[in-house]
Amino acid sequence: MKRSIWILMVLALGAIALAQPKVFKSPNPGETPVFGGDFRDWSTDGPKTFNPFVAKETSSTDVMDLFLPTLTGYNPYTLEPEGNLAKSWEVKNKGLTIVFHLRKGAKWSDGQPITADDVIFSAKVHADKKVGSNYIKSFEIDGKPIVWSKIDDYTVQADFPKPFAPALIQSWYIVPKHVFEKAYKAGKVNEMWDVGADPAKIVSGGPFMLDKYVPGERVILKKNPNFWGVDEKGNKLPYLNRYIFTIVKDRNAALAKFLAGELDLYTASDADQIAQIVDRIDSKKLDATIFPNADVTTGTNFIFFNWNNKDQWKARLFRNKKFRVAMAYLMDKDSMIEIALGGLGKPQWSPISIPVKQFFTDDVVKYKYNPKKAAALLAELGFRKKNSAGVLVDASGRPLEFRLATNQGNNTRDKICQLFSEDAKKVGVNVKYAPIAFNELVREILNTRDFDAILIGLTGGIEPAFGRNVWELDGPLHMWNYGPDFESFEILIDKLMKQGATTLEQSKRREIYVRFQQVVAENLPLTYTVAPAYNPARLNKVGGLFAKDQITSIVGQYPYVETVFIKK
Amino acid sequence: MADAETNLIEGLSEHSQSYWQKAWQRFRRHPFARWAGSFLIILYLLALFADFVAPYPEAKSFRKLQFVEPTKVYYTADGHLSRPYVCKVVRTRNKHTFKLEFKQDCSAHYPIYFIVHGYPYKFLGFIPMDLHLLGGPWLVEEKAQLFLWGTDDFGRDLFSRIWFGARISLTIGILASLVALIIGVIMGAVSGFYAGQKTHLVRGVFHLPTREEWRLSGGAALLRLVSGSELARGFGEARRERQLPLFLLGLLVQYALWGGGIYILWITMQGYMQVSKGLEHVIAQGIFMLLMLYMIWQLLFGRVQIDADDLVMRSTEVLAAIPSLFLLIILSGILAKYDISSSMRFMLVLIILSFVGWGGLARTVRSLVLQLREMDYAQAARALGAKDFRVLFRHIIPGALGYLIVVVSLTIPGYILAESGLSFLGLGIQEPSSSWGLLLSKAQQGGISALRDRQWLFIPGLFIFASILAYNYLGDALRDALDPRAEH
Amino acid sequence: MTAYIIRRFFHLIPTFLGATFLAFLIIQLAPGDFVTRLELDPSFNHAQIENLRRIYGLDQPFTVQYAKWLSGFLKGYLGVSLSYQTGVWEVLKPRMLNSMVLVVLSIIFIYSFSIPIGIYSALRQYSWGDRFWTTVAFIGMAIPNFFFALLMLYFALYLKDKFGHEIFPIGGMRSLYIAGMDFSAAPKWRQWLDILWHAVLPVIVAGTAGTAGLTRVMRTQMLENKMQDYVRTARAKGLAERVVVYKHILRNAIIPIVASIGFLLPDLFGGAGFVEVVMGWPGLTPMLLEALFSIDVYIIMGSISVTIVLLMIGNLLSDLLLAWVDPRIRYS
Repeated sequence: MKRSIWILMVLALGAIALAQPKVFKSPNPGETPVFGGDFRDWSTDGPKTFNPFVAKETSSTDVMDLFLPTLTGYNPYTLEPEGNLAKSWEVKNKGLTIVFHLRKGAKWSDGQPITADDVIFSAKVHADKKVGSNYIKSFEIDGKPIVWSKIDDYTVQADFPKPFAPALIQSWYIVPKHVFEKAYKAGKVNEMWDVGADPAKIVSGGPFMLDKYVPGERVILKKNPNFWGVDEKGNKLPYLNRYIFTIVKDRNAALAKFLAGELDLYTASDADQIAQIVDRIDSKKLDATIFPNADVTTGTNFIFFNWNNKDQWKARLFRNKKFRVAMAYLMDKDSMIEIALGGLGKPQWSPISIPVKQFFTDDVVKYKYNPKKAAALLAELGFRKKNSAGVLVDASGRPLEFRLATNQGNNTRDKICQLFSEDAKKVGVNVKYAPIAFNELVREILNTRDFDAILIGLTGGIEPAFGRNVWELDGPLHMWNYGPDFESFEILIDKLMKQGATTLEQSKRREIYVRFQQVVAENLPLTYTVAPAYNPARLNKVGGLFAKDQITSIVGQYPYVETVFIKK
Repeated sequence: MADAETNLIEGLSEHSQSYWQKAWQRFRRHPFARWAGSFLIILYLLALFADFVAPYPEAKSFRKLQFVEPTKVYYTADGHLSRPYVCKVVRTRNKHTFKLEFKQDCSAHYPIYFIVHGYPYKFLGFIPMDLHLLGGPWLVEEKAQLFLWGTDDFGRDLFSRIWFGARISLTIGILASLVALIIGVIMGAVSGFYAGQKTHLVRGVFHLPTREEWRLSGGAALLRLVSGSELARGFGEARRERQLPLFLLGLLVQYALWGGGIYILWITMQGYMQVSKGLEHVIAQGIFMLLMLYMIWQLLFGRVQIDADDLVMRSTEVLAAIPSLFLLIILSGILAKYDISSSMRFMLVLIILSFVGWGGLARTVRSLVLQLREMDYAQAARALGAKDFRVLFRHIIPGALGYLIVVVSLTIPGYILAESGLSFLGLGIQEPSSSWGLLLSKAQQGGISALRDRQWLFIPGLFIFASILAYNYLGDALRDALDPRAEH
Repeated sequence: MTAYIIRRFFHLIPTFLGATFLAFLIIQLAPGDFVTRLELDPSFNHAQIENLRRIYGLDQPFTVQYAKWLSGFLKGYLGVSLSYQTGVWEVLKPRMLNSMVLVVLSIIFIYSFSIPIGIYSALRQYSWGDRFWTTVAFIGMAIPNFFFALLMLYFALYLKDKFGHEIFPIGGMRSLYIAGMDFSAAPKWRQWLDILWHAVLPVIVAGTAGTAGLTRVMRTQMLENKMQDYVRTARAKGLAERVVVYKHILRNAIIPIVASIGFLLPDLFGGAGFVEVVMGWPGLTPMLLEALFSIDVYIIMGSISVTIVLLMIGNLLSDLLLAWVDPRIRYS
């Protein structure tokens, strides 16, 4: 007892010795955190690299999040920008210049200070075309570079070619210059920190540092003693001793592991999995809690039509709003939730994901499942009679039929497509559905453009401005229509997106994006389907997690990994 | 000569009669195999009459009734024996446990009739009918449901889908092994038959003067070569032998082949030279140059001659060397780009499977042919002047027939399993079509929930299991019976 | 003999070139490449995508890519994985070792069960014992591997519920802790014991089908040899039945099985199949599936070329073994 008080005092002193630590707010002030313990997480794929300039997938960045710092990120409570390595910032020059002040006293795990040189160096490498970093997109706006420069050892400045609303979110990884510089100069920066690298040589600037990687099996990270964060009492963070990713390829195997108490967190994918977990909790075999339907996830699935179809008849049809509305009326979203999502989820009507509360609005036009209205609209378009096969035909006798594709191997999308084509056939629209290989789908969308309709999803983020490649008229993912003829509402969307990206005031931005959602929901360039539920589960021995009403699918079950702990 | 041949055939048939009789005797020693055989015949009949046996059409789904447990059939009402009947089932999801719950509403009884009118279908694809083995008017009116083996994730009747799926699963095995067999037999037979002989495809455009000609008159030979009269000589030769079209075709092939080769090599060299440096650059340049010279030489003076045996055996080696998992995944990726119907997809799966599988068969057939072609009757037929292909297909292949039957019956189970493996990867048959592999892989996705609460979803697995078992028994007995080497 | 080996070796070259070229060609025929999946990421623009293609060399004609790969291979270098950005061999090696543990154990499993059963079945042909083992063997052949693995996983969970602690682990290859200690801190023999413990269920899954197959081969071989003249002669000489069976029949029947050991070589490095995916064994198969779906050309080519080389060595080895065990075979 006495000893632990001493340790706490020493730790507190250590915290004071840190000049400007980041204070991490814990979600439950009532809990008494415990130091030590292992946190057992899982992922379906192992990391492919520990080098942020190479990483292309979340399986790698999930690990990097734990040991590489960023300048800023989202505050998990408010979803507003929050400083990580940057202690504070000043916005100058009408938003064209931002000066970031770094935390003095922050150190890498090898004892070297983290300074402006590291930040500027990392920015340079990320922006280097020869490197091929995924984060190059954070360093240019419309092809024009964002210029980063050093003011002094703890101050950096970013100059933007035009005002950019999400400018405060600088979430690219910062690496130690003293480790990477030599390799970069030799043109070998991509060979650094690969999965075979000695973990002891991988320098950390985050709460954890790499301890061991067993390929295909698990990643073990241990506490970084030099981390620059403290809790509200001034204790040095993180609480955890180790953070362990177990790699489990098969979802069923992962569920089995959680049910056996071998994983600390799990997210149930559907009602059946929830039932398994609930059953086990109720029979007292597992000391855990599950929050069914706590939120919905940010992924989106939508159907869109090819307005540039080489078949003019089809192109005209797809361009017609009445046709698209009729198709929306044929989407039985309740059945989609029950069958495709396994029982839990919400219908989605507009492009911004439901959990993105600062921009999302429910006040949009909803074309709810109604085959009669669909039939009436189709009749207005001239499809009044059915042929011998039961398919609607227009005045010239041409049957109403089109192809629908999605990528092979995605169960949810496959089922949504099946349901839609079944319902469409009932009113006489012959939807010929076939799943095709993902890469072929991409080729059809971007190059050959010989598709009719496609169901696909884009990864949803918090920031709607990052969707500009989809919504602006010349965006490479303006998939339904590559012009040159644009409808007036598309031009309006284009304008709204451009405004949204350059407006800095939050309330005005919300207004713009609410309008944007309404326009899309009404005109249906993309027809959204359903969003799966987010059903997080946890072992009760884990502390530092959100209470039920704080959970969002964007942030997850805990605000900061730094303040997660294992109860004794 | 005609006499000699009929004698030969009679001789053959005489031998084979006693052979088949003996085989039947040996086959009868396997009681399991007879059961397995009858079991398979029943399965195939059920598959053929799936429309009739199944109460529901293949794609019929009940949105509100997914994962419904097998419908209970009652035989007694008020303590008396009655016509079997079912009750209506209502499905709800428990708000707390998230488990599915089913309530029976037995206020009304729905009697099951046999051979009754139901959903219309086209028997054998063209005869319109609506007779079903089981059902009742209430079934079509959807007042109650008859799900003998429960429903799947779409609320489709598993009992019906198993019979429809049987069509694909049971035929894919046979067809795939037949296709593989046909390729394998042709390749293997050609390879075995022509082992040790080379076939000229192209006789070459220019003939290099032989040493003899050089010695006689070097100048004249060179002149002939450069003036192109060599070509004329080849042309004339071909005309004399009445093989002019073949000669011209060969010419075309030769130019196209080597010309294309040179072009590709040139591009490759261009690209490669940009990235290599130092010693490697020099060596690579040397190798490319040598290859280029060789190809040009071949273009001008080459003769394309093919050792059929070598070619086939090399291809089987190459095929065997490439992992089949790789072939299956990449091929289905390539083929999944076309806008294809479900029956086409079935064909594709079939072709992929047999493409991967013919190599082994070809090797077996080859070794068999190698043995058989030295047999007296084949030698005799050849001595009587029978043409190559006639000897091959009239005399040698029949000799191997028993063995081939065995091989096929033992490869079928492998294909049935392979189909389910493809479905496991999501690359097999697509819904709403049905196959056992697809149904089982969906049960697999249900994972622990399915194992605990919905065991009926694994019934298709039982069918896969039982049919493979049956094929194995059958194949085993056939091997005992038909293998000419087995003398017991 | 040496001349034969050398001749065989030269025969292997066209096969190797053909197989690798064909594999490369097939990969090219598949739609898209490694970068394609990024094209639908809204945060990338076209120039960035093309830039990546250039960096990875995917913009060059495929024969150039093949020539580059081949020259690397000849220098003993398998190329750089596109997704790992590190040498292919570094990626493959740990996975191969993991798979090897599973494969070696299942081969031991297969041989130690199938040979005795095969002998028994042949000696008592058509007896109920024979029928029983035949049925067991066929059952093993009839269960899809991936489904069997799921059953085993569930079985492990069931045992845990039943007995309150883990009789068998629920997937995976190594425990996080051994007796309270961190895995890597535990003594080596305990580490191996832990891996063996994890391997029990996967080995049963991976070995069953093979056992079934080999049992049948063994049985057929025994039966065939039983009928040979030399056996009759041996019996006529008045040798004890035991001697006839084990010294004469068995010795000859086992020849092809000994010879087939060579064919196992590529299997050793080829991964144990779907069981690895379902039971979370960090072997080659899960990684290969990933590489195949993301079209990481060099990982695919690396594993294929290693397999091909091993297959060829294995064939050669088989021939040599056959010549060694069967004195009738001579190579001129």
